[in-house]
Amino acid sequence: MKDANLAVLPRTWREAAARRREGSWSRVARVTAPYLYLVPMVVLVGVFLLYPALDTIWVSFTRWDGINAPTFNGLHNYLQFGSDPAFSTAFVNTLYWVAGIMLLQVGAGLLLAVVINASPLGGLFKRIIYLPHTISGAAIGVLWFAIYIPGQGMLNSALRFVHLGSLQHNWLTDPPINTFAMILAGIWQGMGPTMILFLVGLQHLPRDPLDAARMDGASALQMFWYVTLPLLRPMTVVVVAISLINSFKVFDIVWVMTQGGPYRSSETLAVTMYRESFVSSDFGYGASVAVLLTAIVFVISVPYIRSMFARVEAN
Amino acid sequence: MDTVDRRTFLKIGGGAALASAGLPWLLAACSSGSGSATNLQLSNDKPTWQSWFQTEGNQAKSAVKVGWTPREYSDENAYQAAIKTAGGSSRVSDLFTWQSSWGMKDVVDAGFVADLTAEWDKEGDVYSADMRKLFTFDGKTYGAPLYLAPWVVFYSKQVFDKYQLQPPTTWDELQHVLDTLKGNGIAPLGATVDGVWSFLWFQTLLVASDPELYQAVTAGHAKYTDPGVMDVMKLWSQMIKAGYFTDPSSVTFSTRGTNFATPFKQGKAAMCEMGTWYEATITSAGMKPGVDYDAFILPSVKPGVQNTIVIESGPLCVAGHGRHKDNATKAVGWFMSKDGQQEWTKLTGFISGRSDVPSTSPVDKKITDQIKSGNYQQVSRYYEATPNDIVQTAIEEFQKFMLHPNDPTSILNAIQSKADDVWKSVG
Repeated sequence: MKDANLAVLPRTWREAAARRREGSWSRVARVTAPYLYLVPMVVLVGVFLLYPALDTIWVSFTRWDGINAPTFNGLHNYLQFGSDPAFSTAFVNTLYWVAGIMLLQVGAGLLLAVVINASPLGGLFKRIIYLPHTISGAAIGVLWFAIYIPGQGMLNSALRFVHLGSLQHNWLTDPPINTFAMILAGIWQGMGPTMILFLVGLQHLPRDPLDAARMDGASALQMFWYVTLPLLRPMTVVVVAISLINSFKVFDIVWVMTQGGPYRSSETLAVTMYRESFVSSDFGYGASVAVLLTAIVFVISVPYIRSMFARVEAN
Repeated sequence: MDTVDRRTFLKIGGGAALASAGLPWLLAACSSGSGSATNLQLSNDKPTWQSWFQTEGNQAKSAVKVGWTPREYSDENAYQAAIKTAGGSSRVSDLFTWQSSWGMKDVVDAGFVADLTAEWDKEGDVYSADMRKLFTFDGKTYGAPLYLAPWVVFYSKQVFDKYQLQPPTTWDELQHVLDTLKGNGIAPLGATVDGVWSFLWFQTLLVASDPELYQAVTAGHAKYTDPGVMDVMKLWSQMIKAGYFTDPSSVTFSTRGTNFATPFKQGKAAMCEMGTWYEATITSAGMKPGVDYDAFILPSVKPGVQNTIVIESGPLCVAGHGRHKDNATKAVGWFMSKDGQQEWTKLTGFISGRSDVPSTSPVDKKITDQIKSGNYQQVSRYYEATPNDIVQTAIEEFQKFMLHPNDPTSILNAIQSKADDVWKSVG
């Protein structure tokens, strides 16, 4: 068949003809080229994610001091959770963090988004509230440490200044107040992105249901509760999922402000994982906490996201 | 012959280039340089000592043709993990700093540290036997003494002068000092729950009460529930309740929060027990040794107790599996020599472990003279004197005790429970 005639044939026929004409080297090149493009990412994910993850699971079943060879000790590390008071404290503190972030950060983020969406100065407030998120967690820790430290700390000084000295407190050394104090710092940092996501959701809501509700005489509260909130559900799913995962992983603020102390009273599971591994050199136990933490996040977040998106699609 | 068109060539070439671009980076990430044969790498977790290490390394290079370049880690935990994971291979730095006594045992047992017995023997008895003991395991000595820090009480000369106080030589005199300062609204002694420092007053009071019991407890030969230890906890509790210490939530001995040096300089706090390395912090706060502050050794709680001082020392180690082990040993040999130590003390102001190298600080000189003349026995700091697992539990329990000093029994029981487990596993 002459090449000049190929143009009149369907595209698939032309491709088939071209394939018949190409040599074996070209065929190999055509087949392998896409995989070569994938190699860097596969290598990076394999080396820096999959291998460490699988290795962590293996280490969690061993006793390992980081120097001598790990020795297999079955489920011992996992069974130790029940009798380790530091783990129990860290678990409860992590739940405090999850509850605090889910209720206050997500709630306040939504509230702020609604207010800013209706405010003529919304753009300005949006930038101001987002600003803390641009600061690293470690810097946030240092900043709030200066606010909370007794004596010359800004919070206690402010309380004395407004004649509320009786409310002064050792904010970072009294459990569980130290955890609550750090949750506040975490919320201050995390509220910006939460608010922005809700704001994006609000600004892309369909107008018709809102107009219809308004014409039907719905109050502002009724409109928010029965129209706006259900319409925001896809964005709420995203915000809640991100906040949930982040709240389980809290480490930097706690490590900078209290290092989990005093007497491990403000540790979260992520801090316990680090302390057991790198301070106590009990890498097996540290790895078991890491595996548990990952499992908890996985078990909670995956069904949540699936069920919420299923409801969204059903609606 | 097959032909490769431009498009195919670009596809393969681009894919291969992308694939190979990551490999050198990965290989680089998986290896760590350990310097050259004559310019070794000295890993350490002391970023503020960077210029001292660099200058001393340059001096070593001039003297013995082998020097070093420091490589700092700002986080102690990350540093220890890095050394432990690389210690079994030639990727480790040829030189690294570490802890003494129990803090060193695991890396010695693993063969990560080279035997420096010959270097110590070469120096004869200019280094004390007590100090050598801190680095000796099964008759072999590992690591050169990087610093020697006796634990002393720093006091504000201005505050003492103002209230006409003298450095105490007996416990009764100390009691008078404490009461006078407290009565005048000055926090007598520094204490903190920040970091690891909660062991400080347990160590100090136990050594001042019964140094033999201190050594027995840290070696696992006596229990934390011993009546002698309980007495020390009761004394500590009384002192806390009497208001002799700073608010342990308020001050620190680190860069986190308000360092004790601030109220010390302001005259709001008068004394703190700490290793002599803390002088660098005090002087950087603007206080002059011998003028604004001085130091004394805490007197014994009871008469008749043998003079004892806590000493802290950290080693400069030669990596057992390092690529340039012989050169590293040569460089450390120079560091231990009189010339090396003279340079080092001039740079740092530290007390040298060598008896023939005098201290450059008048405060340190007075303390070292007192240790010699008073025939003080030297004991290791608590942090290194007992296994790390016990230390970590003790630090947590002592933090609890400092904030709630009511129930020493539960505190000591918790530490003893951990100690039982650890000593059983150590054997």
